[in-house]
This record gives sequence, structure tokens and C-alpha cells, in this order.
Amino acid sequence: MLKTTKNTGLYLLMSLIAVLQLFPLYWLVVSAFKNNSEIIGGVVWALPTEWRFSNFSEAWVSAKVNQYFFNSVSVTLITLFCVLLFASMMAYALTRMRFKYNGLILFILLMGVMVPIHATLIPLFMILKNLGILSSRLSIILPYIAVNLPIGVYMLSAFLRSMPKELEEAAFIDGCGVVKSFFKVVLPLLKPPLASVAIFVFLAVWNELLMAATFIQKEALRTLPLGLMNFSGQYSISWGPLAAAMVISTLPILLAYVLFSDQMEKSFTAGAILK
Amino acid sequence: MERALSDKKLIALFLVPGLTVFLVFYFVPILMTAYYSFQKWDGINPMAFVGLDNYTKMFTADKSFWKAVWNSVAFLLTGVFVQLPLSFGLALLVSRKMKGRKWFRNIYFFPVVMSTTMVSLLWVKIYDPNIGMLNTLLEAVHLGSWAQAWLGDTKTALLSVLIVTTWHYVGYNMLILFAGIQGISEQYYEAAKLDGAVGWKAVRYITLPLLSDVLRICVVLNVIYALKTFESVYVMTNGGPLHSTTMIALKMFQEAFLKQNFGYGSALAVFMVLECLIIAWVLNKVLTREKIEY
Repeated sequence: MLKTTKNTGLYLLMSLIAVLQLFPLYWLVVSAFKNNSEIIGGVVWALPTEWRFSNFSEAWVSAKVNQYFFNSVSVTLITLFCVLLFASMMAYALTRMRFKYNGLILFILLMGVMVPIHATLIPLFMILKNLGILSSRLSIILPYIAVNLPIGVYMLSAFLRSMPKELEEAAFIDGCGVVKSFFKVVLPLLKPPLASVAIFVFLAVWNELLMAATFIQKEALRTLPLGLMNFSGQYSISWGPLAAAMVISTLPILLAYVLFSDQMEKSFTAGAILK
Repeated sequence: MERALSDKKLIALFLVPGLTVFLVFYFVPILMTAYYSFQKWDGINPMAFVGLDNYTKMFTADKSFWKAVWNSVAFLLTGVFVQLPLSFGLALLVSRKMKGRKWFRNIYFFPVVMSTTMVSLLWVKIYDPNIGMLNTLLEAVHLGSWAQAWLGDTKTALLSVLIVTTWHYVGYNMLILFAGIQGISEQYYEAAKLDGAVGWKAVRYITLPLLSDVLRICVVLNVIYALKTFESVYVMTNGGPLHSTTMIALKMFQEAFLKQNFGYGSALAVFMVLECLIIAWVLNKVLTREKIEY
């Protein structure tokens, strides 16, 4: 008897906290379907009287969220591919290959995990300007790769160190070279940590604002966070379409969350322990 | 195999692509920031070496610098003394063996994966005096006299921003602490039960001490995040009103890219790096004690 009342109390407490965490998001989603008079005059928690999908089409086309969305997708995918490839190659070289500067390279990479990216902003601006790629997609892709490599290398090296060498040795005996055995044997075995790194990098890049705001000056190349920020400045009166744009930009994250929530937990805890 | 694995060309093949990008777009810029911080420079005309002038200006002449430092301290204290205890409470709640705990854990964690820009824009609207839900909610519960322009008032702006970051990240610490709690072997609790330690006593004498490593990580993470705060204030208040929410990173950004003071901006960036490194190092020293064995 005592146990059930205790549990009901607990459930009530936990549900109350859940409401606190979710209510702002609920308000965002319902606002995305409302018009201004409903938002200003209406009841905060009420559902829209009419589900206005027009807010979404307005955001998607007139507010150019389609463009921002495509920019974010392309930047994220290219960064993700390069980080996963480079980080796994570097992690392999640093854990399996023999050479002198192993420790030095790992130490320099550790600096990359420790130093805030803000400290790189001003020189990066100059470097990108001198290379003539300021305000192109590359101007954020290259720094994004650089910033996300260290954590990738660390997460993958930790995994590789605990992985037995037998399979690679067998591949060598079968006549595979290093390159072939890396791609055919090692990479497939790296899938679980690669998934963790991928989620970590996906969220970091998809959500990044500071570098995009500094290096992207062409409106056509804005990513979602940057586009949303400008959108909110220009359309300060119509909250409905802005809410719709925000819902659109969160959908990929929600989807990733629903599909990979376990993997996401793993990558966040691993990432935290490295920092 | 050994010989193949010490082939210089192969090693270069595996290391050079990633290392080049890392060095050119991350490592070298860090060193350049240090160099710029001793120059007076508008980004166009030639640099002029000014020694420690930028630092002197930072510590003595620039009033809003100290405001930014104090704001960092406010973020830091909130992170460690408000957010972390809340997260610990949540972690305890979701680690109880009960139905649906995974759902609650997922709900509490979800805001963390959303971008700071999104969360900040959302809360700008929540705080908005005209369309925001906060004032409307206050009126609904007959506290309409509390309604105000939360982000526009020097008295409430910082607190409002702190509430948002707490709401946004409380699930992050929860998840790390939850992972830590899961790692504590059941047998300690069983042994403690025999000695009569249940409920809070078990938390006090078993969970907390065995979690001290994870708690240390959380403290360091919270402190570093607090010192690096940029996006939330950039989007919500842009440092205002009257510098009441300004942060070092935001000042660095404004000095360099709005006022073209690249030298001074770099000095601020160097200050941030040293601040993060020193505090992380000190915390690690202070918080590391003898490992606990039972």
C-alpha cells in the first residue's frame, strides 16, 4: 500500500518536470499552426482553431527555409564524411603504426579538445580571406572538420586500443596490404564508435552558429541557425511562420533522436568524459 | 605486418589529410591569436606592435570587460550550484527501477540536442511582452502584475538568460550522472541495506561518494561551458540592455567583427583560453581526492 502511494507521488513529480521540459516545445509546435490574433489573444495551451499549414509553406518558400535547409544538409554531410574518414585513418595510424611523433600528435590534438573555438575565430577569418574562400561553403566546412577531428580521433583510438589485432593480422597473411585491410577489415569493425562520432558531429555541425555567422556573408549560403536568426529579426511580428521554420529545422534532430536515442546517449557520455 | 606498419609513406598517407586540416584551420589560428593580441590592427592597415597595451586596456580601461567577467561567474555559479543539483535529482529519479523511466529520461534529455540558436529564439518569444506565453501564463494565474519585458530590463535580463540555459542543459548533466549511477554495483546498496542505510542515507553514503569522479567531470564541464557562453546571449540579448548580459566571447566577437579591433579582440580570446585552461586545471587539482574503496 505504502509503496503504491509513493510511486504515484514519484510519477506525479516526474510528470510535472516532464511538462516543464516539454511545454515550451508544445507551445512552439502549436504556434507554428496559429495566426497572430490567436497567438496574442488566445489561450496559451489551446490548440489552433484551424491547422494552418500555410505557415509552413510560407516559411519553406518565402522565408527561404528550403535554401537554408539544403545548405545545412550539404555542409553537414560533407563535414561528416570527411571527419569520419580522416579521424578513423588518424586513429588507426596513431594506435597501430610505429613512428616517433605519435605522442606529440596526440598532445596537439588534445589541445583541440580543450581550447574554445572562439579563440580561433579572428585568425581563421584572415586565413579564409587570404585563401579567397571566405563566404563560400568551404569557409565553414574546413573549420568544422578541423574542430571535430580531435574528439573523433580520441573516441576511435580508445576503441581501437581495446580491439584485438588478430583480424588485421589474418588479413595481412591473406595478402592484404595496410590500406586494403584498413578499409576491408578495420573500418567495418569501427562501426559502433563511428556511429557515436557521427551523431556527435552531426549535432555539433547542424547546430553551429558562431562560425557560420562570422564566415558566411552571402545570404544564399546561410545555414539553418543563421537563417533562422535573420528571419526572426526581419519578421519580428509574425511568430507563426518563424515557429514553423523552427519546427522544420528541428525535425531532423527529432528523427535522429527517435531512431538512435541509445546511440545518442552513448556518444554524449563518451564525449563528456573526453572533454 | 610490422614492417608494413612502419612504412613512412603509409603513415603519411593516413595522417596527412586530417592533420593538415587540423593544423591549418585550428592549431595555427590558436597561435596566431596569441600573436595578434600584442598588435593594434584593424584588419586592413599594417599591424603595429603595442606590447601589452591590449591587456592593460582590458583590465583597467574597459568597464564592460569586468561586467563580462562577473556575468561568467554568474553563469558558472548557476551551472554548479543550481543546474548540477537539479540534474543529480533528475538522475536519481530516472535511475529508479520503475515503468516508463526511459521515457522520462528521453524527455528530460531532448532539449540538449536542440541548437542553442533554436532554444534562444524560442525563449525570446516566450519572454516577449506582446506574444510571449510567460506573461500570458502569469495573467492566467492572477500574477499579471509580474508581467514585464523580461529580456529588456537590466534587472531581469541576466536571470532570464540563466533560466534558459538551465532549462536547456539540465538533461546533459543528468545523462552523465545517470550513466555514472548505472555503473555503481548493486551489491553496495544491498550491503548498506543490512546496515540500515536506505533512501537518503544510501544516496549520501553510497551514491554520492562513488559518483565523485563523475561529479568532478560535470563540475569541470559546467564551468567550461559557462565561460564559453556565446550563442544564448548573442541571440537573446546581444549583451544588452546596458551590458547587463555581456560575455567575454560576445565582446571578442563584437570588438573584432563590428568595431574592427582585431588586436583587442584577440587579447580577449587569449584571456578566454587561459581562463578555461587554468580553471579546468585548478578544479582537477582541488577536486581530486584519494580514490574511494569500499
